[in-house]
Amino acid sequence: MIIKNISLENFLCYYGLKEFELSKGLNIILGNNGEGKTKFYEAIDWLFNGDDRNLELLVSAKMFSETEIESSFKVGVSIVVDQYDEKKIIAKSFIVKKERNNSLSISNYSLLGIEETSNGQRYQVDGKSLLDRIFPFQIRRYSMFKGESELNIFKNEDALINLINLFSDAKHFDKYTDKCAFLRDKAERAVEEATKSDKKNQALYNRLKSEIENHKIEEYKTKVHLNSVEEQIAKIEGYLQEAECHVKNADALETINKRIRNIEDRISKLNGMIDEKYTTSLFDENWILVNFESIQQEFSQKVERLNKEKRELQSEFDRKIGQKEGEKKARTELLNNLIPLPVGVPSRTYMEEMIKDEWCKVCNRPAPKGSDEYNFMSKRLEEYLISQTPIEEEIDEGVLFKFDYMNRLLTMNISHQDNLSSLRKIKSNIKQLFKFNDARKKDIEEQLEALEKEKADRERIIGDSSIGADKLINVLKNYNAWQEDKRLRYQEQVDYRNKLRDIQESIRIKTTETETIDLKTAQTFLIKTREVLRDIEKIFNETKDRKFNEFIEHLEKKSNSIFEKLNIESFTGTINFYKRMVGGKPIVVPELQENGRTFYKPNQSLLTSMHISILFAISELASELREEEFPMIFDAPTSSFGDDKTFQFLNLIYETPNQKILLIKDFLATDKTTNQLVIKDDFKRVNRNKAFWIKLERPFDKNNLATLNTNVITL
Amino acid sequence: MARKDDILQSVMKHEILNDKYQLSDKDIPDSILSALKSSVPIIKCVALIIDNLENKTPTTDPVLRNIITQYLNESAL
Repeated sequence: MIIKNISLENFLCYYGLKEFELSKGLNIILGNNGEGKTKFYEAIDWLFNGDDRNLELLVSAKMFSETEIESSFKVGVSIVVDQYDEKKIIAKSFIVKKERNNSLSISNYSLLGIEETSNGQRYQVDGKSLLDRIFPFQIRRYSMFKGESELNIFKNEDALINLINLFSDAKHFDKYTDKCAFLRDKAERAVEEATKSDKKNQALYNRLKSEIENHKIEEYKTKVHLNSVEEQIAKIEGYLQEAECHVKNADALETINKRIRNIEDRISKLNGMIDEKYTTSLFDENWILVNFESIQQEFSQKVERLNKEKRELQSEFDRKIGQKEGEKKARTELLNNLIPLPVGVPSRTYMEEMIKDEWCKVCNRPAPKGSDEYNFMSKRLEEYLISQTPIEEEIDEGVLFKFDYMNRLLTMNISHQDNLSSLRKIKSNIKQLFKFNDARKKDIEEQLEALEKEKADRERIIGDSSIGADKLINVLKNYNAWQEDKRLRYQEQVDYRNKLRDIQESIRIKTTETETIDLKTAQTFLIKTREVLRDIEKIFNETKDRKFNEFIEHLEKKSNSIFEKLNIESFTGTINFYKRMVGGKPIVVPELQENGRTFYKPNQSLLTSMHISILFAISELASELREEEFPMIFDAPTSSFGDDKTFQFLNLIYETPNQKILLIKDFLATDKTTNQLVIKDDFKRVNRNKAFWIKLERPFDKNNLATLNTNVITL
Repeated sequence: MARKDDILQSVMKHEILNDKYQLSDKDIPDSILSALKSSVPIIKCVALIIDNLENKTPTTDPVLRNIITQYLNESAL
């Protein structure tokens, strides 16, 4: 079927009645941004799928503003369709009544269907059923697309089931597989009953059946676990695939962040090393002493001189003391050795007696007091007594310097000398400090330069990534965690598969045992019936799977054929339909591959090409299987394509047999001299069956909807 | 081609018919009518199932089961 005519009446920017006389094949509707392309698409969408909600939002503001209060006008969309040479009309409309300047009332919409026979006779039918008959909703689902993002139909998990139901014979087999399972089960039970009726087998048979039953429960559980693990793997793979395009950046970002942290640490340390308190050194209280070094020198000389003098005096004193000591020692030795008084000298007692008697009893002559003899005797006694007096008193009196100030002076001198030595270094220290600080500042400058570079790299990495820096870092963390998860899940998968294999082997052995009993016991016809029904179930199950796979392969082949044509002379890879089970039902994910390597993040243009190729493949399938072609309507499907690719794309789809209505903004440009919007000459080279230009009537006020009126120019 | 024939032809391609039942191409019917007349139990049985399920008013499960098992039991005797 083809849409011959589309009429829009007072629908948004389409003021009054606007008609598009369409052709079969490729119909291109050119329109600049904001001049009515999407409103056109929305009008068709409303006709096909719209309801009663928000009808007031569909009313032409211009028509409303020009309508008298209490007057009414119609808002509607209609199509005229040619199907098997019969004309069919579907019209949806509602009436708007202007109540006041800013107020309106709206009737319910009506969906009218009109069929016209080949002899021109018209009759009215239900609009909805006519629409579903001429353009089934399942087909419409894959015929209308707005923007590039809607082109990926497989985003919807039910898409595959819908496609299978629409186009594949596999859908017919569901009821067969169910019915065959039922028949086989009954046949199994018939054999079982017959076998159990033989008492001697009953116990063994029951045990085997019970074991098989337990194994089957275990098998079921293992399958559930295995399926769950496989779903987790698929999910993790999905995360990894999504993350993989960021991981390189995330990895680089982490490395750069580490480098930045290291540089910042180094800068911080270098800053810590710089000490610019030069004035503290200059104004140190000792610093002033540098200018009084001569005084210190004088002081030092004096101290040295004093020290010398003191030592000389001490030496002389010590020498004298030494002499006295010597004498004393000799005297002591004399006394201690008991040297007797000279010959004729009596003892002390005799001496004192003779002095008292005033008579020398040695020479036996008188010695009166005051006489020479008397005095001689008294002197000798005195000398004797003196010789007996202890010497310690004389030593105490011999300390030359009671206080030793010299040492203190010497210590002070040395200390001052040391201080002076370090004070003398302050100047060179400050000089060195300047030099050191300058070197560190230079280091910091270098580090800052490196930091800037690293930061610029980081900005570039973040800029290159479609996600922010925080998320990028999380991606890496998650990526590593997911990798580990994946490894663990794969291990679990292997474990469950091994367990499942063991269980199934046990079931097989037990089943063989029971069947051996069956063969011996049950009637042959029951055994044969069971055998046939088992095989029939197998045939239907496997045929269903094959039909499913054939359909996917067919779709894949068709998609790739279109994909290849769409990307002539450019690298594309191939579309691969990756099938997997999610929640027990199969889903299909289209991927781009090159020699088995998946492109996780193809550019938008390539992605759009892939999705469009799949859609055209589906459209072709619809034509083949239903022996009828259906129109496809796209609003801005090729926004990411460049001019060349759009040109290629249009010329390619021109070759496809079904009707296409394409709304695009390409091939329009502003003329530099007239400043008017014009169609580029390139458009003449575009193969098409019909073309329109939708254009807002000039002048208009972009802030006033009541001034908008899209005109339709047939090119 | 009627859907019944279509489905029949799809399942008759299964290799088990040749591998296990030793059926050659000439033994494989191309229509449901000839399949229903087949003397090969598995073919007739498949035909009975298809004929029944594609019927506008399919029989109930127990009835279908009776038809199938009765036929198979008899053919096995």
